[in-house]
Amino acid sequence: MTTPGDHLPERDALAAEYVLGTLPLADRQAAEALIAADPGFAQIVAQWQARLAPLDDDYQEITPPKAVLGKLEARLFPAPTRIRRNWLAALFGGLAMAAAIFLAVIYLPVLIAPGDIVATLTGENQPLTVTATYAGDSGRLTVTRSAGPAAATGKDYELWIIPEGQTAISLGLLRDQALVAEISALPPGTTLAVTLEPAGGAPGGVATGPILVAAVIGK
Amino acid sequence: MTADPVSGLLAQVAAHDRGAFRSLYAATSAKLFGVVLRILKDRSEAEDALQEVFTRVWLKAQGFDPARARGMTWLIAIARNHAIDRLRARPAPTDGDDALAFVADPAPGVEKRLVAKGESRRLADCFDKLEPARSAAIRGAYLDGYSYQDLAARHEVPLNTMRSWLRRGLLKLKECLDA
Repeated sequence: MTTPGDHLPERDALAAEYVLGTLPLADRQAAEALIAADPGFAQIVAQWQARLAPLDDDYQEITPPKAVLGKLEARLFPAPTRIRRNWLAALFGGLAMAAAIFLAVIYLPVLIAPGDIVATLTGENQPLTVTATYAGDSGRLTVTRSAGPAAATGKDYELWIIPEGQTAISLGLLRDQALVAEISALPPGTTLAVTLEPAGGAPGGVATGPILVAAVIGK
Repeated sequence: MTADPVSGLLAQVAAHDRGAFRSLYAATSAKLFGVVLRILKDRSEAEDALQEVFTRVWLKAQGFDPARARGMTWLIAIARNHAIDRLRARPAPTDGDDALAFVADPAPGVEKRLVAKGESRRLADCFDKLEPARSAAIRGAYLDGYSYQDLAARHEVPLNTMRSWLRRGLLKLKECLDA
């Protein structure tokens, strides 16, 4: 397979450098995007991973503090909280999307001030960043695009809320001005996500586009 | 291929089995903490990173393919990638700090080389065919998360020179391993 010579083919070199870890962050993110988009490249990365994996033996085992598992489980499996569902009755068939989010979502630390919840919605290799602030006393969820470009012409960003274990519900379109929605509760385990949809929003209230950014409300 | 208990646990975690997740944590967290701590060299950040790594494992376990990698290899790749991303996201160190902070890796002991078996042995043999400096740079990058910038500063060469020098090492390594 290998042609002996002076140079690794560029793709092979990039894959090796990604696995080795020597690249700056932007180049690493570009490589990750390529892994996601190009199965051939992903295969080359996997091969380099396998070649260098024996080095893993050099890592020593160091027991982490006991508290870490507790924090982790509290974050992943929050205790069920009673949800008052008035408007939740308008459930749309977003099961597939809820499953997809489960795979795609990146957890980010969520800052909780007394009564208020601030969540930052981000995605892998995604310039778009969305900030959601929930005021517990007024029940007002305010969502703004805090970084990244506006949706392209003919497209719209659509905001979804997915109560834990339930289907996705549209909260509306996220354009230049802040989106404000009144919701009765935002319990831990709830996911907020933004998808890219045709202008005017997902037809039929079921997400059709890719999930760009998401966050899960932590404890 | 020998039995891979981690791979079995990952399959259960992919089915959202919380008990299996706990067993997986018990079986692998010390190794993964060793990985993120060695790269980040900061205990508190390493604890955050470990939580993030296991969160990703919980979310991405369905993407694990036992035909492509051993379970532990897959987990360590997630841990390394996350720790290195955190490292790269840190603000650049002030000038002159770099070279001093750089601690040489202890060479693997003779005993360790003797016990290395199979794939480990092959990789060790191929590393032995590289110049020691190149071998140390590749190992340091992989194990400690050194960037091209770190390596160029250490060897006092321009970044692109370091990059081609290291790439030649990787090419030799590949030729040796694939031969």
